[in-house]
Amino acid sequence: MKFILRILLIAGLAFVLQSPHILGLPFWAAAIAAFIIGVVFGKRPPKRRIYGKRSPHRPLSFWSGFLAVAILWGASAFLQDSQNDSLLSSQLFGVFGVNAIPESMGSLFLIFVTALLGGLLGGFASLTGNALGEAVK
Amino acid sequence: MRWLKFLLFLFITLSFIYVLNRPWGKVTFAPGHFFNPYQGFWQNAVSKDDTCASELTLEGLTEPVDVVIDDRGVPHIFAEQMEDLYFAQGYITARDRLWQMEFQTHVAAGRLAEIAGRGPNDAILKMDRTERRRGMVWAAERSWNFAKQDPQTRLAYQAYSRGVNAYIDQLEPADWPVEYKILNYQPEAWSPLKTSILNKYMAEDLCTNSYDLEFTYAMQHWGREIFDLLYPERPYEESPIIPEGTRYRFPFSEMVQVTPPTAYHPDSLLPIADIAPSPDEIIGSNNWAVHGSKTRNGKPLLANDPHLGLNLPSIWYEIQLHTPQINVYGASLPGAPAVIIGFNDSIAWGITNGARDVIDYYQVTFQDNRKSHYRSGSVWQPTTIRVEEIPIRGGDVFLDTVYYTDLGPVMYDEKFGETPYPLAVRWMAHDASNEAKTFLDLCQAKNYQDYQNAISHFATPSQNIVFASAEGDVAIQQQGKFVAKWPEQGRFILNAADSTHHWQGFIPRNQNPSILNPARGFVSSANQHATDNTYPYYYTGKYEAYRNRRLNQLLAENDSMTIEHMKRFQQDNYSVSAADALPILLRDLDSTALTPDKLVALRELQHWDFFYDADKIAPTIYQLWWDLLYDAIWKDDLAELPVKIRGPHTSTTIRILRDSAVCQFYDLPGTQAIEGRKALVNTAFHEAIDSLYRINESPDQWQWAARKATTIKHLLGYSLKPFNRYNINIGGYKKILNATSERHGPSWRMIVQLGDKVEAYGVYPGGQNGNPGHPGYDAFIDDWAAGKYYKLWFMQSVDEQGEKPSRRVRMMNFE
Repeated sequence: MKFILRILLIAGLAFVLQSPHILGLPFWAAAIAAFIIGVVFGKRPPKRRIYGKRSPHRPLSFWSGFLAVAILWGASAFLQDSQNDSLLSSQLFGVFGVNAIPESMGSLFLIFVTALLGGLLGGFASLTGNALGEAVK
Repeated sequence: MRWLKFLLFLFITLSFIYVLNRPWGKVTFAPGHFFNPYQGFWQNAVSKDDTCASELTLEGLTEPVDVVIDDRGVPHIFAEQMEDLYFAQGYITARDRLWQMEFQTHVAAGRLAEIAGRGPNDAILKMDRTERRRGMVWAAERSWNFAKQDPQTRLAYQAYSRGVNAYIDQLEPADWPVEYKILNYQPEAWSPLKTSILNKYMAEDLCTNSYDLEFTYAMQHWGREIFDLLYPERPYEESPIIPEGTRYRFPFSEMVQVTPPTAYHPDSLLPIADIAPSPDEIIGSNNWAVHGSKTRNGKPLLANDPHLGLNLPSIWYEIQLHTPQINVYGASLPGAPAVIIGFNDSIAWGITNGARDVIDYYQVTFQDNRKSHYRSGSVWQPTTIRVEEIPIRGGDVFLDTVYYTDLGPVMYDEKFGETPYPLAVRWMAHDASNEAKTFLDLCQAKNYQDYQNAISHFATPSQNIVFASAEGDVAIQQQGKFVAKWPEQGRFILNAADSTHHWQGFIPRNQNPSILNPARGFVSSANQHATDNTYPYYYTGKYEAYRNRRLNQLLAENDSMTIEHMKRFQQDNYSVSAADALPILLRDLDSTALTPDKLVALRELQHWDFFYDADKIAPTIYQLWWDLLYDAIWKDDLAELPVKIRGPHTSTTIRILRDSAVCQFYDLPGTQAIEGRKALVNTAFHEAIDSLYRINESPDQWQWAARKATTIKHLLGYSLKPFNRYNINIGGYKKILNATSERHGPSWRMIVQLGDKVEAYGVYPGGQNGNPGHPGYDAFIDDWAAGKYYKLWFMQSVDEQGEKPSRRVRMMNFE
């Protein structure tokens, strides 16, 4: 539950920071969102310990940041792409010259890349936030 | 330990952000910014249903402006006064074409390296230096300083500029056109100077290709006799703009007298190295107007199809401009106010390139290495210096010192072009002029006199400006500022030290070739010579030899013409040059030696009507045969020259083939035999058919359009290939009225019937929207290729309802 809550919080905060209709901050704002939520959750002491001192939610911390931003970015790209009937993305895909992927998958590939980059960004930032939260606890 | 972990993760995160924040590889965008769905390219993946607000509040309007955007994306702007009108034109044009209008002026101003770096082997930097050393911005500054003295022009330029900037100012990075995001740079403010630079961009496109340097070389290599054979001034047959036999009666006292040169020995000039050859024969534009006496309903007709490089976003932007004083519709240039080719209730006008040589190169002798003085006649004249600062992406600045003589900038010297002596360029577009006024005035012209007054401001690039009025007049004039020259002045490199080589005077405007309501009932132009040999001034240029004959024949032999005739003529695929040449070739072709598969090809040619239609295979066979024959005749001979130069014209080649069975140029290198015409013609035929069979075993598949493969290229089409449109299914070719070649073609087709109610049609190979991610980007291409036209919605009032859906936007001042 907490995992899903965390995803929702990161995605929501990132959306507020990034949306051109709200704050319109550059791409690294997604990292700030994941970082802040990471700090907040990192501060919470773990309820139980399974393997010695290891905190059980650190991997979850990465994946929550990853999924939150990946879903946010991916969905946003997908929405833009579908209202556009993939007109732009199918052409831009050609610019990259990725031969391994069939042209018909080009738009999906760009959405995937978008989600992946966002995911990694969110994941690393979430981890960092978590670690800070733990450190200052 | 925990802090260490934190620092480690922080390091990873920051490194990743750093990686996403910096540009990578060939493409220069930073992945983080580019893929960010809230700012990057995804924001350019706009909805098909354009969701423009129905009300816009902007700073700078005096009264509200209404814009009706029709189903094809054409804005119809209704303003109460001129200032608001041009403001709105600037705003709306920028909304659809911002990147293009800025990029074109960057190109012309020599600012490409600023966004794209030096390029491989400094290629881009070299392009920039060429523009700067040609004096493009210098010329644009001079023209703007001159044009702004005219209140009407100043108002139009400044209002347009404020409109563009009103649009730019409200943009967030997310809204920037996608090309900015790909190249990772940003739009800058527009200014009247940029509009002036755009004018020079057009002048450069249309009148900087001259053969001075190449001809100097050719003359030196071959000598006078051969040179005249290969590069004659006129083709073997031509139908000039002003009908042959027209008498030019200029009073002697009003004519400009020219002092002949004290010395001019073009065959003893020094060679030039490293100069790119001019492109081949002119690409082709047509315009004509038919008098009411030759039309079915008695109303005058006007047609124009200017041919240019086929690019996306298109060079033209369709627009209607309306105030209580004016109501005009037509093709505008993104970056300039008013309409360039169009019509109003009373008149219509169109343009083709005058193609006259208005650029000359002068050998310059500096007094010493300081280059502070150069020889001009009997004196040493001082030079001035303009230091060009060329910023290069990444932070470098390249400084280029350009010396200016009174003739013009020293374009080539030991530092650029590797010429053995410095060459200054004297170009008519260097002189201050106000071409914009021509179009501002044409927009509101009512009759022939207004047309004459309007075009009087036009200096460069020289244009054949055709005219028709609802009153029934038809006219054409080759308009431009022209030099009165002695014979062959400026055909070769001139000498700055000899004052008789300087431009001595300008031909008075009322002596320009001009005709009103000729007896034959039509006026026309197709980039041919304006006059026959009896015109009292010498001129030379880059003329095309064949379309004029076909056009004038069609216009002469048809009576009771209609709009449908005009459409057919614009798409006429008949090749006069093929009709002239093929019988000569077939006469020499030995058909007894042909195998059945080659006889198939021969039969196609024998039954060909000389039309380059898209689905025909005969034009494919003929054209390849011709191209191979042309190369066989000229390639080896041209290769003897130490520089690349353009080969003789098609018309020259046809004339030589027609007249001579044996000729020194037919002989091929490396063979014992001395080849004659017959050998060349037969060899080329076999090679052509063999290579066609190699491409496809079935002759049915040799259709002309597929072989020609017309491409419409995005302005960055060399690297952003998916933005190009390939293999357009369209007939026609060079030297044909429908002069659609591989990369050039009719950039705007317009037909206007004047009368109590104007009826007009138009189409261009592109779309109103410059965004490759918008369906409007290439919306008209298929219809254009198929020869379809759109009926132009020439609104009479803002309340008018069209047959098709439209959107309305009200622009109001912000207060």
